[in-house]
Amino acid sequence: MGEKTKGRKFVLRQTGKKVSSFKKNSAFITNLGKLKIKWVLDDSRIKENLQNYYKDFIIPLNNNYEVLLEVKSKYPQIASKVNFFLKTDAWDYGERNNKRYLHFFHTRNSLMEFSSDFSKIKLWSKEHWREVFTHLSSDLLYTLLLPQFKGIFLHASAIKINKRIFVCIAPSGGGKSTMAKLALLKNFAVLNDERIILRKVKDKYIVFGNPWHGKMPQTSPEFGEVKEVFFLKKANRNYGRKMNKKEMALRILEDSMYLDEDKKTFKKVFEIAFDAGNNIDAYILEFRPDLDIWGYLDERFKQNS
Amino acid sequence: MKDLNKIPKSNEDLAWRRIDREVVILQFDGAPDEREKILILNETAAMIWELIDGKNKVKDVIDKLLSEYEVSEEDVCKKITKLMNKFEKKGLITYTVA
Repeated sequence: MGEKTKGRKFVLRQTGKKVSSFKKNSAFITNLGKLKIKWVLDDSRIKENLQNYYKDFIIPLNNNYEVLLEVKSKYPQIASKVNFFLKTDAWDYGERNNKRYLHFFHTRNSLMEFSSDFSKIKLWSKEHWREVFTHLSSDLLYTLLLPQFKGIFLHASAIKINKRIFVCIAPSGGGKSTMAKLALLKNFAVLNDERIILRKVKDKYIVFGNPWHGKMPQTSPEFGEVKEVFFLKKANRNYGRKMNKKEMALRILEDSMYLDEDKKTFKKVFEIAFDAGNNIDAYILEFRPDLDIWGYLDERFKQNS
Repeated sequence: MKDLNKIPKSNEDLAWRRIDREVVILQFDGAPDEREKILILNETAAMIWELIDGKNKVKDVIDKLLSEYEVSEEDVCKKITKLMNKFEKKGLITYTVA
C-alpha cells in the first residue's frame, strides 16, 4: 500500500513510516596495495557497479580497514571557503581547516572531503557511476591516499615470475607494455602494464597489482616483494647496468604519480622514493623486445633470487 | 667567526634524505605555484647538514669536523661559515641563540 512520493521514498499509509526503496546502506571493503578501504553507500545501485569494477580486490566485510569512505547520494554543499589551489578542467583540489577537498564540477557537482590523516572520506554525489567514479577509479583516489600510508603509484609495469617480481619503469612508449606482452607469451603473471603500487609493508618493499591498466587489459591482484627495479631502454641487446642509489631515487620520484601543487603529499612521496632508493637495487636494462629477455634476466639475476 | 654559540636549525618546510654519501634536499619556495627545488649536498656538506639538528651550536659542528678531518681549525671555520651562509641564503636554515 505504498504511494510513490517524489524521489525514491515510499510512504506506508498504514504505519506512516517512510521506507526507502533503493536507499539502503550498503558496504564493501576493497583491498588494494594492502590499503583497505571500507565503502559505505546509501544507494545500492552504485555498489553493484563499484563491486564489479573492483571485483578482484574485494575482501569480506569482517576485515579491519584503514580508510572509511562514505558515499552520500545527494548534492553537496560546496564549502565556499575552501582554498582550491589546484584547478583542472574536471576537478579542483584544495584545503580548509586541515581537511582536503576534491570538487568535481563537470556535469553534476560532487564533493569529496578528506580528514587530515586521510582515514575518513566523505563523498557527496548524485552520480550513479560515470563522471565522479571514473575519475576516482582511474587512480586519483589512490594517488592522494597512498603517500599517507607509505606508498606511491609508479609509472611501471610489474611481472611476477615464480615468486619474483620484476618492475619495469619507463616513460610512455618506453617498453612497459612490451615487457608485459612478452611476459604473457610465457604465461607469467602481469600485475599491470602501466602503473603499480609500491608500498613499504613491515620493512619490505612490496609491489601490488591494481585494475588501472594501460594498453593491455590484463591485470592481476598478485603482489610480491621487490628487490630490484629496471629502468627500460629499447636496444639491440640485453644488458643491465647497475644504477647508483641517488640516480635511482630521483628517477623513482620522477616516475611517481602525485599532484605537484600538493606540497605536503609531495614531501611524503619524496621521502618514500628516497627510502626506496636506499633499499632497492636498480638497473638500467637495455632490452631487445623478444623472448630472449627472460633467459637473460634469469641468468643475470639468478644469484639474487 | 662570530656567534659560534648560535644554533642552526633546518627549515621545517623542507624534506631531506641521505643517500649513499650525499644528502638530497627537497625545498619549496613558498608560493603555491612555485616549483620545488632539489638540492644535492656532497659528502662534506652532507655531514655538516646532518649536524644541523636544532641542538648543535656552530661550535659543536666545527668540533665534529675537526675530529673527522685532519685540517686546521681556521680552514674548518672558513668552510663552515661559507656553507652555513649559503644554507641561510637559500632559506634552508635559520638560527636561534643558545
